[in-house]
Amino acid sequence: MSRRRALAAGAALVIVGAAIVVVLLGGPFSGGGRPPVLNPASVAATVVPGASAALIAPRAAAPGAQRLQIMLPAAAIHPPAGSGPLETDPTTASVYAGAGWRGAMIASVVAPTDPALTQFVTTDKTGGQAPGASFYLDGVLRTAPGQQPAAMPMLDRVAPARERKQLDDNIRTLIAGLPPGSVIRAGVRQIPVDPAVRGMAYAVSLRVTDLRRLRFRFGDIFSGLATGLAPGPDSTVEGLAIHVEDAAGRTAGSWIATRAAQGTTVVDPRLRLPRIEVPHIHFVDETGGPKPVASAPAGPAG
Amino acid sequence: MPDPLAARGSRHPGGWGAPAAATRPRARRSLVRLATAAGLTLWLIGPTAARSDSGPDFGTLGLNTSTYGSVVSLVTPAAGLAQADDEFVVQRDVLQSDNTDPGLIQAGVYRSGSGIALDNCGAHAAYVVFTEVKAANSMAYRCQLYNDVSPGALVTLDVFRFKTAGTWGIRLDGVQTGSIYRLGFAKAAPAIGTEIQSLGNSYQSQTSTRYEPAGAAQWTVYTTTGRQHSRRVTRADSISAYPMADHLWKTTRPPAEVTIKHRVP
Repeated sequence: MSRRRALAAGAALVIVGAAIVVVLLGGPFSGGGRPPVLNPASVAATVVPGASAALIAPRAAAPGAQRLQIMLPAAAIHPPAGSGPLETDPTTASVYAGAGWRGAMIASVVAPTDPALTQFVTTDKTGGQAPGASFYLDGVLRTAPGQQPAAMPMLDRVAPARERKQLDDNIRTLIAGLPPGSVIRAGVRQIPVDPAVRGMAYAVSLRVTDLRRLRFRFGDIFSGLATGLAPGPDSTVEGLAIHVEDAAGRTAGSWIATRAAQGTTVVDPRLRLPRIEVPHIHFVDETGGPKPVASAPAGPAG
Repeated sequence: MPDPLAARGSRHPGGWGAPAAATRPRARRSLVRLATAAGLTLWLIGPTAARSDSGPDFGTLGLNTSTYGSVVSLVTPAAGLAQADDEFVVQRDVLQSDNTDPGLIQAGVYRSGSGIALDNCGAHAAYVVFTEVKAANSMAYRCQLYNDVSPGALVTLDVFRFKTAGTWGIRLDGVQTGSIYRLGFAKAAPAIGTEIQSLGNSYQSQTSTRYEPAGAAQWTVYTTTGRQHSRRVTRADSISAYPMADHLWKTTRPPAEVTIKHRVP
């Protein structure tokens, strides 16, 4: 009897042990391990309807590296008719910056599941780019295959409703804090980036009366509006774009792709950047994400 | 955000267990108490001790602002925002001082606290390699962060230009070797179409270095020690030719003064 019991106990131990091994090795019962490789095309189509993506040969990259080509529909990457040259028309540059921002978010969502992915390139559906646009459209995801991205413990951990409330409150705070009548209109677009983890990005567009008069309020506009959301390791959202245009067509914009750890600034050359952009208004961090902080642009100071 | 320096404290659970070889119960208990006390003490002082000696020897870089304009004003206390405990840019090379060409305008190792951050890349408490590039003939900039850098890590950063104008590449290879921090850059060779390897480098002594262009593709490096190094930059040049050169860049403007200050290791 006791021998039978011992045999039964031994068998049970073997089964339990085998189950543990299966789980540890990432078998069918495991919920952990490396996440399955995301389909780049489906991620691209999620971020930009009509977009697609495919792996292509890398350019001057480490052995074993791969590059992701993201192909956007014309409306998302071609400047509107009548736009000026890239070098002189910030509106054109802003279109490319927005397209590259979406490309960066698509690629950086796929990258953690594909360790070989090191670069991305954003093109139109024909695979083309306008001359000079690669600055805005291409980017680096990691310097070598297998490199782990920096930890972002708060990313996608805040419910989208709270993210949106934070952004709406930031906008209200900004409008109340700027000189009366400065902001004519504000709009927000919510962009799903990774539905599996509720990952969202937000694009803010502001219409203001005169951007020149707000030159020293860029800290409020760009850093203040981003309070609790991005950028940096404590970011809560996948991306944040802020684009400001005034009645005379002057523009300034910022596009932050959180996972890709990159951000692009485009400023109308007629506006001279302040030496350091300091937020003057008190913005309330509701999510525990990034605090508003003075920032230093690289460009020439005014 | 995690404090990279505090993270060096030895708080690993199980790091100070009872010695396995103790056989007698009383001796074992004593050893356990001793180990526990020692462990607790280390646990308490560990982070402080780590803070005091773990600061990597990054140094800070200041440039002649009359030559380089506001690009380098961030490291000056006069800005009133960069505090000693709120380090902003710990090392930075301005590679395109005149802001007229597309390409890399600055690169280095970056860390910030709550006072000031790199535009679009935010506050970053851990040391991280960064680049900032500028588009041609515009006011468009892109900040890009790369690998985090552990305190004490040896990092080699290769920056090079491809054959296409304005197209830059970066290679980064970090290994843990001790307390000497090394960072090297390559300024693009004078003619577009030439690739140049990075010039690995180190900041091991306090020095003042001045660079003057001595020809279309030649650099003369002066140091406060009176040593002078001049060499033509060629494809795949190496730092071994520049024993005292910390930075190289091309400019047609007046010589830039570069001062490299060091923390106590």
